[in-house]
Amino acid sequence: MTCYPRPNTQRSPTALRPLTAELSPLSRPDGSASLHVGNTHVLCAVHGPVAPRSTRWERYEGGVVSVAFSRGLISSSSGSAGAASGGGDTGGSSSGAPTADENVAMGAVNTVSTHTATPTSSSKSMKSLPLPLPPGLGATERELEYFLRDALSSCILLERYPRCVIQVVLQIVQADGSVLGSAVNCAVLALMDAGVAMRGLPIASTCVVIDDMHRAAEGEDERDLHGRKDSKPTVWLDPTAEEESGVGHATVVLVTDMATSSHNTSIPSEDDNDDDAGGIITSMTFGAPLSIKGLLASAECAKQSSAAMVAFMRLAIEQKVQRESQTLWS
Amino acid sequence: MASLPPLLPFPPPPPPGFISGQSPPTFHDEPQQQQLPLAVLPGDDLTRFILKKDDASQRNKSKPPKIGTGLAIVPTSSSSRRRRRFHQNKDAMDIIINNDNDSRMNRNNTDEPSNAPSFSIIAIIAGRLIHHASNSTDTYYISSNTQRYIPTLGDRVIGIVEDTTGEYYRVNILGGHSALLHNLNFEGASKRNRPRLDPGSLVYCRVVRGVDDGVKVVGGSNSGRMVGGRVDPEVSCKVGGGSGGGGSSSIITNAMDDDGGATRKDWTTSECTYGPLSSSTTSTSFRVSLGLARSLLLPTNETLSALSKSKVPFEICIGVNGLIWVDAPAPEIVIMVQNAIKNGEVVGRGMVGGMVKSMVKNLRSQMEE
Repeated sequence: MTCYPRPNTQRSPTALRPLTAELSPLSRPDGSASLHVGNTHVLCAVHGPVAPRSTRWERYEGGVVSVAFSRGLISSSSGSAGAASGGGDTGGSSSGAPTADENVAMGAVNTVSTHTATPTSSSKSMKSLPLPLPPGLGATERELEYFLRDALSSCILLERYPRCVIQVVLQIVQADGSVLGSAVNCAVLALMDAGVAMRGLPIASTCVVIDDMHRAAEGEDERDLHGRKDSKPTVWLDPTAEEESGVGHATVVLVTDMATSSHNTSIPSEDDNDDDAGGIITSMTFGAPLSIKGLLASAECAKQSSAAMVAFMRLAIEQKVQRESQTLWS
Repeated sequence: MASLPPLLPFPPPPPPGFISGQSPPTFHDEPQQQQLPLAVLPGDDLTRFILKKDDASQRNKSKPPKIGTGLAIVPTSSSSRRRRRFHQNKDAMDIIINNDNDSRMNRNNTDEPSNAPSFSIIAIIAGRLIHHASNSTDTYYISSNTQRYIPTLGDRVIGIVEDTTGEYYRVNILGGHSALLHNLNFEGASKRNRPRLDPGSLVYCRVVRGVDDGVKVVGGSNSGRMVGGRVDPEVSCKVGGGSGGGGSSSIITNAMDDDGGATRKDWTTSECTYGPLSSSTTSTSFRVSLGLARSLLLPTNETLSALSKSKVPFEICIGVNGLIWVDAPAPEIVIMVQNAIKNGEVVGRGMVGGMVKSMVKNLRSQMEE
């Protein structure tokens, strides 16, 4: 059994990169959010519920989610990988209380934007997207828009907004791996900022799965191509662009429905085995083909990663709520 | 299922007490109450905060707790969570009453202990869970500050006239769809004696049909049922309650719709409650967030009480949809009032008085030049 370490970094396979979120950075849309995941920076604006531009698009039973996705320039991450690793370990995998660590490494939420601990000043060159496109961005923008639309529509209570449209506009400011996953999470933050009613939170986790069977093909070991021996796939959470683009790496983005009812002690624990508590809403795979073992392994990791992401979002909302109660309501 | 490579200890999922674990003393200090969570996210299960069967203070209340905005009742059953209906709040009271009286509601899941509720209360927006206790009942709702107004029955809003089509004005109340205002829905208006509103003028009016309110279906198999949310919202400049109605026959007269004792003067006088707002050269209107608009309407609002204490002459009209209109004899006063209100959203409590004082001082020195 091997667990391949990540290239060029000390970050453990299950560590998330430092997260920084800002709610309402834009004043014109109804809700907006900006999310930094390591060097990936996504900006999202939500307008809604509004009347659609033409009555042809109105649906009688409920609202419609419309997603506009726009990619930006790519940044080369090699110079900043070293710096990111320093922040990555404190951000994700240490055994201390997640809240204490997150306060240090993540989360500056303010209308006056301050970014903590995220090294954005390292040597980066902004260049346009190279051809062929790196995995994760190879899908057409239309595919990614549909993916986002499905993920968000399953959780928004659309029957409360008949004949309206909820428009989600995403802008990738910097792309360094886990772009689609960060886009989903940023959209969720913006929807919460806009006050759109949701029945749960669709949280995305990105994993890179390296199946040992590929290594076996190179003749390293007498490992079994038919899976007779237990070949455990390596799973890396929250990959950078470099990790995603390796040969034989499968990147899978899993969107899970994080419902905290499974933690509620008054509801009996059979909910934990229920398909829906932490169930997968949708997923998308790039790169190498993904095996069943890899999918199951990444689903396990995704559940835990989503929990950490929800805790981070809770921090962001808490800061916003606290700021409001100090200024708005007495 | 494949066994996994050894994962380093991951931050564990938040323990059950997490959402209340680290909140500082709440602003609603009720020592006997279990501490409410500081912030809730959509999907958070809040049943145990709201239905505390073992809490003595709750048993003394005569009515079951009321559920306000941002919370939804979801019946728990073994079926898929996503397929459950998220009840609108109007159904909420019935469900709670049924559950308190009838423990047979638990027949869905025989493994549950008999006093577990057969439904759960879920937060559907992100914000702060607020508990308001009165003698007879507890009210819970989620407060959050948003920008997009959703037309609700009884709200007093400022609308912008967009268009005149036939008998109705189209008024933009900054909600999803523009609202309808009938020509004759002004106090004491008749066909020959009614205000003529130009597109772009401001109207202070009342919402008489909101997004949740229905229209009676007249024909077909659904005849007589109320269907909600498909029709454009409607506003009126008539004081509500009592005989209501106007040109439109689909206005719902509601027992709760008594409009807080507004005066019913004729639209031609300047003392009428609703109606067009004058658009003189020194008046202005601007948009703020919904939370700021609601806090300005509170009698204890600091910004407005500081401004009125400073004896600056101005007139203000606040719409719950976030639109505010200010009029004053001089444009400098209008600008100062507008800035003071906008600053009130970010300046902390206690510092508002000082801010307003310094602004008024600047204004006075400027006006004397």
